[in-house]
Amino acid sequence: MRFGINVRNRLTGADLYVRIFQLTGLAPVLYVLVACVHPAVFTSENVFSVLFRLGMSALPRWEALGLSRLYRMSHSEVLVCAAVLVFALIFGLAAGRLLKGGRGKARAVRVVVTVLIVLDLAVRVLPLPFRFSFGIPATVFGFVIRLGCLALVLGDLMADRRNTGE
Amino acid sequence: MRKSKFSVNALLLLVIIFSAIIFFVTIKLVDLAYHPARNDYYHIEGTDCSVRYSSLLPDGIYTGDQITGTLRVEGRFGYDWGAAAAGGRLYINEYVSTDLGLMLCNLVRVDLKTWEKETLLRDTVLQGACASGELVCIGKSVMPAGHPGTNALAHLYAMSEGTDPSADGALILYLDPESGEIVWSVADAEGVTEDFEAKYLARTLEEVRR
Repeated sequence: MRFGINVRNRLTGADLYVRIFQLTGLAPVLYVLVACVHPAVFTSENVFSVLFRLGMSALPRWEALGLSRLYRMSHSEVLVCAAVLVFALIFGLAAGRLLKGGRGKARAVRVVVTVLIVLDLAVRVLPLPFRFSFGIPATVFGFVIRLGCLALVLGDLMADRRNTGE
Repeated sequence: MRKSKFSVNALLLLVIIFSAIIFFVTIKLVDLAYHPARNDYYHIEGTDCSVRYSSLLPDGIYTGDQITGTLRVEGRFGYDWGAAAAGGRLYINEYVSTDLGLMLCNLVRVDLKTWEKETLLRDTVLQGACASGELVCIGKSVMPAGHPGTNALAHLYAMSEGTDPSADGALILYLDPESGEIVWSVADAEGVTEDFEAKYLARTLEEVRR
């Protein structure tokens, strides 16, 4: 297993999307880690709870719903954190491998990711009961982040198409 | 020239290892720290059952006296908020805590002959019986000890049910004590924290319906 990329290599939009996806998963974990040593974070709004809400809202909605379901079933914050981190790691490793595995594979990944983000954005604007789960500011932040990710991946796809045309 | 490398994958791997250590240390320590010596025994009115909270014996529903009592159902049950017996069955709150102490409550029904426990409603707190005998519960709620207004984990917990634990209105449920079925519900009910007893417990179901 190989970790690490050369930062001097130009990152593509899809590369950035993968990293944004992974980093947004770290924000909720931070809140839980702080709560382990300082349970008073539950009693008031603070920077860690804000980070938790922003991070959860920026994650794909299906993942956040899955985590909520997992939490409800297991009653375990440890399991929720493990799921977030392991999924982010697996996604990062798999996406890294596929994006560098040839033009065809990379293009397929981008198309799949684009479709998933579009579906995610559609779910966020539908009048569903879980739409504002972490408050309206976090919901807006999450939507903007996901929209930004869509722009990154679409930019890649358009560049790919231009290069193929040339 | 030395190539500088940065990888989010490596960062995640480090966080996973670090988190595992923190979780192991803190949750094990907290688990040890929150076990003060005690042996409380509370009788449930209208039954020959009692609820025991003990650091030596298993928590649960017991029959008999405090010294020679027999454990019937293991678990953390509430005795204070209107446990009610009807038709040979006991309706009682069962408290469930997450790893980090988010308190949750389920309404359970215990058969007083076979001692079988059945979870009737999750995230529901039995408050007592109203004037006409129906059991009154607050549904889809997180216990106040979990700080539902500010606790972001409570919001994650409630997300998949589409509820907001910090919302002002509550869901009030009326249950038939014989069958355990919901006979009436009030959505977005107000006055839950201040005058619940006067509004919902002191009145009959017919009065509330009006």
